[in-house]
Amino acid sequence: MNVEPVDILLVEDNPNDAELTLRALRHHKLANNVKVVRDGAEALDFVFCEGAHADRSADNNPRLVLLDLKLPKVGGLEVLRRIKSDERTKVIPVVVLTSSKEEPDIAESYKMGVNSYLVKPVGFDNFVACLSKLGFYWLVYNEPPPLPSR
Amino acid sequence: MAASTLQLEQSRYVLISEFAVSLAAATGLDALRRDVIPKLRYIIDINRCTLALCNRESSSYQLLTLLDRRPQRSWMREENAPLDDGIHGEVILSGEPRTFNNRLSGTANLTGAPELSSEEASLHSIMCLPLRVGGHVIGSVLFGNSQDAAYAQLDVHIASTIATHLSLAVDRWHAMEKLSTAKEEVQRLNAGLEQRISDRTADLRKEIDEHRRAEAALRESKERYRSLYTETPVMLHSSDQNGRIVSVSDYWLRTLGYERGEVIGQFPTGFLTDASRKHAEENCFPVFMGTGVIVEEPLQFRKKNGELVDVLLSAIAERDVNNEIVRSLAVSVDVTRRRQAEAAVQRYTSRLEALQEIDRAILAARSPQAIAQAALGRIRALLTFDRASVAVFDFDRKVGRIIALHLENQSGPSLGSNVPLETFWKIDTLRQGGVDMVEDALQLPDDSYGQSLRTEGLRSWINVPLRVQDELIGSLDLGSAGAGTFSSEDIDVIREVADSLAIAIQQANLHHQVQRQAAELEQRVAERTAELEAFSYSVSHDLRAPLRAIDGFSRILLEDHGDKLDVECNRLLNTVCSEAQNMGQLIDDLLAFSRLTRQEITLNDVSMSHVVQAVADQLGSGDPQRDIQLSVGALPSAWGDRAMIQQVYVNLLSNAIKFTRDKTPAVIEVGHRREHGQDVYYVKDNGVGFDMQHAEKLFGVFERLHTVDQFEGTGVGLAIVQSIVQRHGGRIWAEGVTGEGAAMYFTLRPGDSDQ
Repeated sequence: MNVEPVDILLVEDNPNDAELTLRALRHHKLANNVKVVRDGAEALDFVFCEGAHADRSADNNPRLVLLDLKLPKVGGLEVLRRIKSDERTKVIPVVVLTSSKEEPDIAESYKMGVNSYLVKPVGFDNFVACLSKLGFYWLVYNEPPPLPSR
Repeated sequence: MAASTLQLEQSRYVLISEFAVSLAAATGLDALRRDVIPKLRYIIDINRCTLALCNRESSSYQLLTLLDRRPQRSWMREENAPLDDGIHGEVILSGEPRTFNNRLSGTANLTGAPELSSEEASLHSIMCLPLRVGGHVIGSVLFGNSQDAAYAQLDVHIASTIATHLSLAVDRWHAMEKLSTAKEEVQRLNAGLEQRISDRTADLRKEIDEHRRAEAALRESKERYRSLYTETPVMLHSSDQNGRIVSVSDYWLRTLGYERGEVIGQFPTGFLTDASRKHAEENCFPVFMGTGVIVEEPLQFRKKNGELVDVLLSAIAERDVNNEIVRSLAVSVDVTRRRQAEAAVQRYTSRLEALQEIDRAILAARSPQAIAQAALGRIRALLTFDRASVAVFDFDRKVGRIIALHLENQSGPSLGSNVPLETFWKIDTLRQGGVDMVEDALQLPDDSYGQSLRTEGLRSWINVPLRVQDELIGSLDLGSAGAGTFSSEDIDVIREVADSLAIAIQQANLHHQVQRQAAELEQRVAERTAELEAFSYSVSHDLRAPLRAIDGFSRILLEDHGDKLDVECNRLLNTVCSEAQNMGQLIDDLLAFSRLTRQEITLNDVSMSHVVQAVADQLGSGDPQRDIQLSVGALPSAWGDRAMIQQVYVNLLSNAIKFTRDKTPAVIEVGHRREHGQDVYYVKDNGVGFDMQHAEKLFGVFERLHTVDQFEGTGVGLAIVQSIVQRHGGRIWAEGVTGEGAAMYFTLRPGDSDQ
């Protein structure tokens, strides 16, 4: 049974992007408890403790979800919708981290209750700077929502 | 001697008696002078003879010369003399004869003779004798001779006898004269009387004539009245107190086709239609009995042959002393033609309305079904029929589809059904524009066509082609349970409706087709747009990720292993990083440009001054080292999309700042001018400028006039500006001189020459 608490759930199908993201997070010592999943279906299993992650404790929700939109199987927007429309998970901060600057995505994401929307810069320096600020904000400065009472 | 003298005497008496006879025959002095006196010469030897006629009232006498044979003497002198003058006067007054011989020689018995007139002065011998009638001297006669002693005693005696005859003659003449005067008076009186008689006669005749004329006129008038009544071309009938017809005009008979014998004694209402008779009995008679007058009552007669005649009937009653109607006269004006004309006008009007309705349907361009149904509804107002339908033909499937139906009896093909073409229509006839009409289906041969009609319970039938430009598209079909229902006029109407209907249906079909095509086009545009968006999404998503990887992993390589690589390796890796970033910028710009072309444009009144101020503030904070002199002139507001126009100024001012990098100070002017009635906005700088021969290339995507080494940029900025300006309907152009500067001009709405 995996009971280790997860700080960040990174939903990213591109291994390069995942690696660069992890490196950027690591660079600022923010990547101690990062769980990387490669598609939307797995992301949902993890969040709702189903399938391969059925044994995960629902008490330990991730403190932050970094969500790519373009994902195999279940798309990022669908994952977002499911998380934000479920009472158990809607309080989890979700930041869309995507290459897309296309407006429909931004608008859709906000409608579904995304907490932030970030377009990944092409330049690595900017990318690193961007991710570090993000990590600090959500994991350090931001007061997390209270845990659901049972 | 004695014997010869006697003989002479005897012959003188004979002459005297002849003289007396001729004197008695003489009617007056003229006859006396002409016929009698000349005979005296043979009785008495005379040169001169005068006659005096006494007028006692005026104491004068009238002297008349009867004969004067003396040379150069006028013997016809007449004069008046007083009674106391001359020998005549002496003889008349005395009543005694006077005789003179040798008066000039002084014979004794002539002494004391009265003075003779100058006429008688030359006479030597004179015998003057009185003329007596009943004891009165009425005058005297004188015989004279120029010789002395011309008259003997016998001559005096003879003269006396002659004087006696003359007296009687003169008296007779006087009497005759008086008689003649009296006669004239009588005649005059008679004449007056006769005039009065003739006048009166004329008056009487005139009166008689007039009377006769009046009589004739009366007779003629009666004749005329009678012939007027019978022959005048108007329907007249007269009725007696019982209301039975006593006389009718010929025209009445002719119009209704009856003989006089069939009409006299009948009631007029017997010749009316049932409806008119009812109307006459219930409405007209009560009025007529009361007022004695009916004016222009519209009624309908039925001819002997059954045809109907519309009339306007007027009648007037004749009453007796008790005010009872004894006789009535009715005039009927045949208005059948007028009614027919009115009906024709009515039909014509309805026809026009029906056609207009269809025309309105054309304009509304609704569905063919709705148009056809509306047309059938309108035809109902014009024609009687039991079944009407509109079919459109599908020659590929060989069927006609019933798109509109009006049905009195539930039989025949239903609405929306497909009917085999050959069974129901004579396609060849219709295709040539002909009308297929069946007057009586019972007389059709027993083929499928005839059967199909009969099973529908229709006896007469008409199929009118719907054709558009000689192409048959369908048929307008009307049927009736009666035979021979459709007249040639009906056919005209149906044809007109069919023509309009055909156009309307065609119009609606075209409209439908255009709409479908428009919908298809819009669908395709939507699909294309979606594809483009998907493409953009892919570009933004999928191209950026590898670039980020290239740059990211190059960085990692430099960071983690840079100390193990030589300088050249470091430079090459840095180049990879910067090019990856350049490509990322290119992709971003390209996406921005692509997004712009898809973006909805929102028009508003845009304050250009505010826009420029905002852009200047945003860009001005860029490089504090630069000495930039930006001047902004007065800018009129424009009608456009604020965000887009702001983008225009961002790009133009960015360019101006970029290309003046080597100038100190950099001078940038933002302004406006009116040109050909248009607002032209411009941005000028004193930068590197450009060669006008490359002006065309400025606005192309990725077109650059400078190398990246000189000025950074992707070549998309001006392409975006041009796209925005063009989407506003405006125009952009550039002017430049190499090394001295450039000016960009744009308008935001179509100019006169651009429209």
